[in-house]
Amino acid sequence: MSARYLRRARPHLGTLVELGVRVPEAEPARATAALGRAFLALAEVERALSAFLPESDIGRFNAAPAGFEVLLSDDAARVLGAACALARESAGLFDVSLGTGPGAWSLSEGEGGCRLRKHSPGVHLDLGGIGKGFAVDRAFEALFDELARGPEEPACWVNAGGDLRVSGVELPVRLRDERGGGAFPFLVLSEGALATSRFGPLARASLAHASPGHARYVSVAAPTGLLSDALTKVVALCGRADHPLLASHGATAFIHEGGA
Amino acid sequence: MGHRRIPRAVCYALAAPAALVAPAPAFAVDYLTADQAQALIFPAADRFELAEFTLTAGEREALEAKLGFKVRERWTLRLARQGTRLLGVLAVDDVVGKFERITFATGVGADGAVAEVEVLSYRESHGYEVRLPAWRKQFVGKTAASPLRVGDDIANISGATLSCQHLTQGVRRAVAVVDALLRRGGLR
Repeated sequence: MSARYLRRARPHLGTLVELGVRVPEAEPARATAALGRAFLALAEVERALSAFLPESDIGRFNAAPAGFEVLLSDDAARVLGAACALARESAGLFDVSLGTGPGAWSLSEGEGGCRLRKHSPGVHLDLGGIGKGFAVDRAFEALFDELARGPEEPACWVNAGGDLRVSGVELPVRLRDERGGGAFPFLVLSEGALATSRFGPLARASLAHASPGHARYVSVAAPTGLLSDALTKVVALCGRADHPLLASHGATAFIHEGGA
Repeated sequence: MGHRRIPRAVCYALAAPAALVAPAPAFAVDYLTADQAQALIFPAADRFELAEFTLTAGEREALEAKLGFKVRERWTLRLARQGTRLLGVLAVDDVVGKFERITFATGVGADGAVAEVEVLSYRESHGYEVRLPAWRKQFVGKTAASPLRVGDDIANISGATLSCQHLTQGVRRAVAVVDALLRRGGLR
């Protein structure tokens, strides 16, 4: 008997987010419940992290003067905590302040939770290099958690415009050639996460040590969406697929041309 | 009931180098039919009514000036009702991007606010095919859901971020059209 899968897609995170679950045979309603929970999680993360929404934690921080302190939502605390650790481990290569003040913000655990403090007026935080991967993780966790309440092994995935996380099912992943069109078989992901960023002409960022005018892609396979998303930026900034941070997080990087 | 922990490991197999030479065939995913989408977005509705609307030249001009892109004349909308009361409106539309065509449903409440957006289908193609009118025609009015299998029909494209700009524009357009019809008193 072949398994049945339920898939839904909605616009989120500035891209198309697809969720997929294997429908548990004994309790098919759990699949719908899992999708509902995951879409709710996406909307929650979006609200908490978007730098463009003035009422988000990050939006308030960016608009505030030096000395401002904010009690973070759980989501913002998780992402900024991870961003802090990655900045330290990469000796400043990974920087969510995008050069506006890597040392000008800090986190402190205190009464009621985690607080974010602003030390200079010019520092702006942008979670563009890590937030999407984290949102993928949150949606994935919601799917997995709901499915895990039942007797069957969970099988589910999240695909946010190329940032993927999967468990329990083999997902064939193709890489798109942005210039010529077409999508090329790349790998089959059966557990963990994969993110791909394009660097070069017309992209927002460029790859270190690459000749200008040359488009390259960086893909990182890692245990979580947050790590795969963030580590593509580390690889792009150092131009090396063998940065020690990858191995220490159980990740692998690929630098490739689009398509062939 | 065993509680399983969220896995934290990565496992993959690279495609054979030979496979990288030729592009994979274009693919398509059907997520929901329009009937399924309307039931999901307006669960309290006890009936749905198909209704045709024609925007006047003045209405279109005003909408296009506000939105900054074209708005077509004729719209078929699904009116969600509970008894005689209008709960909201579902507009099914599609947008064509660089490599994809997305059919989507925008649910708009009777107050004019977006209730939910659901993607009905996604068609990926090689860039050049999108520009061919024949290719476009192939998908007009398609609503049937295909059986889902893991393997050949799963769309997992990892490349530069798939731009959602067209879809966002399409949602804005649907909301603006429903809003214009509400204002003229055409939706009751």
